[in-house]
Amino acid sequence: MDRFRQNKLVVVGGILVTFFVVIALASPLLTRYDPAEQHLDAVLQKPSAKHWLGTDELGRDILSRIIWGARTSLLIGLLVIVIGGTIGVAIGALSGYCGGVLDILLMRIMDTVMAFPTLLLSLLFVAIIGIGLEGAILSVGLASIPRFSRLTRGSVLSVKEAEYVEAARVIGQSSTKILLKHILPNCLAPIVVLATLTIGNSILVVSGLGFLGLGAKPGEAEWGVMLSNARGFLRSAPHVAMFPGLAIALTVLGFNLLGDGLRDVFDVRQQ
Amino acid sequence: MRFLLRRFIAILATLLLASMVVFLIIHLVPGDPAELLAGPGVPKSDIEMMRRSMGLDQNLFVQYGIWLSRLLRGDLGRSLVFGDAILPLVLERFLNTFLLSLFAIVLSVVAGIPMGILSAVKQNSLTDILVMAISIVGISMPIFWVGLLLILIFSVYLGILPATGTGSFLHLILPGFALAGNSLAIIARMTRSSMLEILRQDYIITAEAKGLPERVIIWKHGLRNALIPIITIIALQFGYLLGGAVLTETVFVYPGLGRLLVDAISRRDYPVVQASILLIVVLFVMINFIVDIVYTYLDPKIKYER
Repeated sequence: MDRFRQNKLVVVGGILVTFFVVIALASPLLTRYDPAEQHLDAVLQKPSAKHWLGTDELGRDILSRIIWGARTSLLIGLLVIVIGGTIGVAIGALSGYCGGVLDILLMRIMDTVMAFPTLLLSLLFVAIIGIGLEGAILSVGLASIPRFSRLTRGSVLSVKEAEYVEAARVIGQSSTKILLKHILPNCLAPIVVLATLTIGNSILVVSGLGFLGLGAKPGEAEWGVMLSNARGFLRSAPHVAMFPGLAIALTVLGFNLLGDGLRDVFDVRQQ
Repeated sequence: MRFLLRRFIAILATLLLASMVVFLIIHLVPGDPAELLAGPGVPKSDIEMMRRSMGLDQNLFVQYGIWLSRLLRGDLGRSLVFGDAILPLVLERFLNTFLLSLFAIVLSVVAGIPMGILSAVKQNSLTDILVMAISIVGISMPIFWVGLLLILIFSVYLGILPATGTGSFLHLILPGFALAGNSLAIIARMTRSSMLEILRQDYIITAEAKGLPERVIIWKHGLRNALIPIITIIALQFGYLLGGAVLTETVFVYPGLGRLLVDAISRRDYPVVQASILLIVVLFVMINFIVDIVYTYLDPKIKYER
């Protein structure tokens, strides 16, 4: 535990992440206004005692929308690694453990998928799945599979030859058991690092899709959509564009710092 | 040469698979391909005629063959929304994106490499910490927000640069800087870690012991040997910029390929979606191949591997 506490990156990143997680969990308690509540007599107000971060073009309280937006963003990050991480690790483990034709085939497919830049791949999936927050999350999740599978395959390959795996095989344990109980737990460190960095990145990409009008619906309290709306009022009410962007940047920064720090702590070689 | 030949074959295979994925878009989207391609409000009889004339009544393999052979002859079909031939449209937009990405990559190389070197040479100093802090913040900031901030500062408050549009070099400056931020940070980080690795080598210590000036050691002995991973990351970043400029293009209302793609997705203009994605992928793969060629020049060892 001390190893974690001594690493400044982990501490700062951890604090930022914890901050947003707490906000996301407690959003109903922390907000004075309903995030969708419109006050058409108080639109585009500057920050004040009543509305700490001001109001948007429909008189909605920006602070409340940002706090509820934290929920959306963290959920996005979590779902993306649940989708991409689970499928990616499964493919990678299978590929690395079984080897042979299956390995060549799976990795050939992953290489093809990786020939698409991530954002482009997400756009391709959005084109197929359809516009909307669910589609965006699924798209970014699917787009993150190759990285997880490549990483897991590499780790499995190096752990597979270890003596304790050999020993497990000698005493007659099944392949499934060996893979799940002996190999995967020892591959966990780099996967955790990648997952942490992936959460940050997917928050960035999904909010980007929201900004492009391909993610969350226009009215939703999602940071990317809020920024997209704010574009229309950049001259008259620049503060509306300030805070959602800051929220995205700080959350992503938190996950990036945490990921970098964990990499140092686990001593995972940079790829 | 054998290495490059193998890479070339692998790339052809990748492109073939990628073209299949792109071909399948129209069949994976919910709905009947012929109806989707005909667009809304077209009578049933016309749709049936189109189905036959485009070969959509054939099996998938035959369809792919027809599609690919037309593609290789440069026939990308017509836009469902505008009715125009796609190839000139895509190429014109691509040229805009290429200019923007080129400007951004030059900016990020010119700033990123010296930042990384400075950071590595003065490891753990205040400068190092500062450069690393700037770069991790740079990676974390949403590019579309950076764009909005740049517009706010340089167009709205200072009024010295145009916020949107194209036509002159001035129009490239703000989007170029917005787009460069992310790559700059990544290039600086890569330069730093690559330089740190090299500066630890024996021959650097020898050079120091010989009393060579620090400038010569860093630029000639250090950077030249640290260059391979840096060049990889630059090329990769250039590919990402081409495919990822869409957010910047949206913020600055810049008529690039990414914007075309997003508009096409919103309007369900599938032939344009297919063409734009394919073009970006081909470029991305080609760039990677060029990197492989550059490698073999920089590092003779690679020729003998595999």
